[in-house]
Amino acid sequence: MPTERVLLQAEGFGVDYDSTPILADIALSVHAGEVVALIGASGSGKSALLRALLGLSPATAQTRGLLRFAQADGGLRERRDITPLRGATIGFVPQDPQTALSAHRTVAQHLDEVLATHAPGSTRPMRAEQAAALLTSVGLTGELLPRYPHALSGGQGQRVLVALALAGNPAILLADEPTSALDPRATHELLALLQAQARVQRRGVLIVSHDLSATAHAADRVAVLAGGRLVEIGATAAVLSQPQHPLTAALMAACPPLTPPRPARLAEAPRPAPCARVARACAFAATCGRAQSVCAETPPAWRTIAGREVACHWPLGAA
Amino acid sequence: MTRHPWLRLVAGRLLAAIPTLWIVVTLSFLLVRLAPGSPFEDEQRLPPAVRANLDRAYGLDQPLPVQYARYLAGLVQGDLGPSLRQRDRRVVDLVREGLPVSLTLGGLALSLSLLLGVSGGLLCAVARGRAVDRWLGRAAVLAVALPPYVTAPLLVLVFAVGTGWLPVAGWEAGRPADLVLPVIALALPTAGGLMRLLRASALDVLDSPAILAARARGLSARRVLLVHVLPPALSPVIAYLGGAAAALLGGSLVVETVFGLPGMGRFLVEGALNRDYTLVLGKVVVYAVLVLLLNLAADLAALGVDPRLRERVYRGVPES
Amino acid sequence: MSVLSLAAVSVQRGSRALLAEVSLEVAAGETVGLVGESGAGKSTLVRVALGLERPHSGTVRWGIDDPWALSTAARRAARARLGAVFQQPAASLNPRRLIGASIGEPLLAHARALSARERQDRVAAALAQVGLPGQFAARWPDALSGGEAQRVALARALILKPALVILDEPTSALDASAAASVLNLMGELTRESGTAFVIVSHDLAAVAYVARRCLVLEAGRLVADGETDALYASATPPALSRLLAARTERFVPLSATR
Ligand code: SF4
Repeated sequence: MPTERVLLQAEGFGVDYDSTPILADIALSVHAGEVVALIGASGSGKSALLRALLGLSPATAQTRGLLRFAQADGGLRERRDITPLRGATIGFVPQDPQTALSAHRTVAQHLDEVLATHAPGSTRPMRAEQAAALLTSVGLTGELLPRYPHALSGGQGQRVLVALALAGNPAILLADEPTSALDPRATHELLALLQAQARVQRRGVLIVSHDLSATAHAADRVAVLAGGRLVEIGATAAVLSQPQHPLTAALMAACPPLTPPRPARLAEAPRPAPCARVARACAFAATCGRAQSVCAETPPAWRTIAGREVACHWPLGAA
Repeated sequence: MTRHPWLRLVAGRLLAAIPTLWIVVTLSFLLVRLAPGSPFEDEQRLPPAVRANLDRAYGLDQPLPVQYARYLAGLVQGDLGPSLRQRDRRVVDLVREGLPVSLTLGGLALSLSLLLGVSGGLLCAVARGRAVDRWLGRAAVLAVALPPYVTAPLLVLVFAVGTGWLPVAGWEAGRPADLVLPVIALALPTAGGLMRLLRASALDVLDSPAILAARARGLSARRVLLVHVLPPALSPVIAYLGGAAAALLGGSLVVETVFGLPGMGRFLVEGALNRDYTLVLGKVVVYAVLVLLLNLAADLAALGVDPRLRERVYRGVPES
Repeated sequence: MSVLSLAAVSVQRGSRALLAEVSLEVAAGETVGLVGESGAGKSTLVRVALGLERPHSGTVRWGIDDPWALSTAARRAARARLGAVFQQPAASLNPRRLIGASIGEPLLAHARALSARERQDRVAAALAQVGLPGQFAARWPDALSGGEAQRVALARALILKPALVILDEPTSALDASAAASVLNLMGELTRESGTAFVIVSHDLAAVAYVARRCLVLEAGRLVADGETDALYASATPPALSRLLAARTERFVPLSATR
């Protein structure tokens, strides 16, 4: 995978809202053909990162560091103004079709306007053809074109959102909890669809989710975000089979097993201190079961263990 | 079970309006009649014989139920009865003269307040918290708080008496200049109300995931605002407009009096002061019909912006 | 004795049967899971069980009472025996009311004889039951995390000491850690409170964690009712096997190099 070209790269990236840091030191890249799952609980800063990647941070936000995006010529370029990239270089798949589509517009109208935006010279019949093709590419039929959002099932709506994200043929797909409104079967199918977009269309797919179990299995790499910082990044198989950061381990232990034996109590993950307060310590120094005095004195440096990178003074180590 | 759900809706509403109208007419009839006094009381030194003649001529000597039945019978045929104080005039003729004036004035005021209210409300929502928003917000509060009997004379003082740009008052049919100040005076409170309502609903929509998603698709700011924010933001406005429009179109007492316009608003003053029963009732009937029609129009407009409502009508599911 | 029983309950929507001849019993103090695919009729079943929707045929009983044989007022009073918790914790709390007021609200409707003092005590006891400190009563809903909000919703559902609480997807909007805290609490409550619970979820593992018995709904019909682990192990009926197969742990990534 790393030999593939990089489509999106964040380096030392951070965001302040009203001069309070809520995201810091983010280093992350997404390559062509891969699916990356960014896992973070509510309050981890994942929404801020998502908005920043789309250039849709609130007016009071300030960003630090670099964001680089793929160019049409294959190069990578730093971008400050992301406006022209929206829908064209980076396609966004929102969370819930019932709230992310405009209730008074049909599927056809939604598709047509995005197609018109990204291909200004096109005619309406050309766009109608493209709209039907887009629906086919996400496993739907043209039958849905005249429907309003409320008349779509959860799975159909989510696929329409993917079709809309694909309308500008973006190099990168950014999905925000794309399966949270879906039942297991539809979840499975949607993840397969996103994965095919990476494998077959060679896009880079970044799925942001609060749920390690729901999306990580479909990803090639997992990045865990907590308290506004990344704490562990690595190949999915490595991270899920042998988590090294105490938080990752706790997130996994928090999910009940399907079959016995079951623990009498499920683990509840330690809470990180807010990003703003962490300058010279580990965000978990106050709540982590493994914390030693050094954790409260020095921020943990990144180290590579068993095929992934982890930011912890006392990683769990190979079992 | 006709094949046209829209027609069925409209027809159903119109049918349902009949009993409503009947109740309004009956209550108003009773109220007008139970108030003390009579149309011919204050005319001085009216000989009892003349008075009895007058009463007989207008049917006022009959028992109240008979008068009521006669009024209803006339109403069904579109006759609102004779004016009791303007001899030889029928109320229908007076309405025919006054209503076009009021409708013109009210229609223009409605359009102006929509224009100001919607554009101002959208502007405020987009510029939330910035100076434009704050100043427009204050202006809207002022527009709502100041009644037309304050703004109308002020407007006259500045633009007619002071600068002489516009006529002080009067109505020469077809002279647009006569309407400028009355339309503004009439539109301001509604415009202010609309603006505040639209600002609030547009802010709700702007903060919704649908708008984040629309912007993330790369749509232009203008398109997002006009196509994705405005229609859903209009929903609460439409509900409010039904009532507001009836008040504007039904004739404004204050504005018509201040500017000397021969509209419907005048009726109420003259009719009430003179106990011109039929004239007052006529105004009530016209007003009630307007309210019913405009509410129907508002409901149809609401269907226009909300496909879920539309579907419910198509499926014939009763409104809950 | 059963706290909820449905006998041959059917619900039609137009020509479609949302529920067809569903019969089930929930015994006092028992915890039952209910699983099924989208559109299988889970939410309709919840609405019928809570007395929010009247079935077209069949009978519902809360204990010995048939809610639809009662007068409207008596039915409302009888609802005190049931509590409900829904998926969206934030949406189920009024943002303009203090948490204590929201939790105590059912008392105003169903236990009017209580003094303000007694109400406060009951609210504090309900908070303690769901593992939250008493100070939470004086906070606003927007200060709650998702897991805390769901605990508050549980406290409100429990305050009238109902015989049965129905939870509709109580953990699906929560992140793993918050879901774990709710499931841990559920574990305690099912062991200690004496209340019966019905947990509806498409998270099979969450259902298995709290419920020994599990019902499977498919296309409006109850197709299985049995011991949860045994059902999962047998992977029948088909609806259950599809749900098991769709678990993301079973997701087979396409080969990275294709
Ligand atoms: S650095 Fe220390 S406190 Fe932080 S996660 Fe590792 S062990 Fe825990």
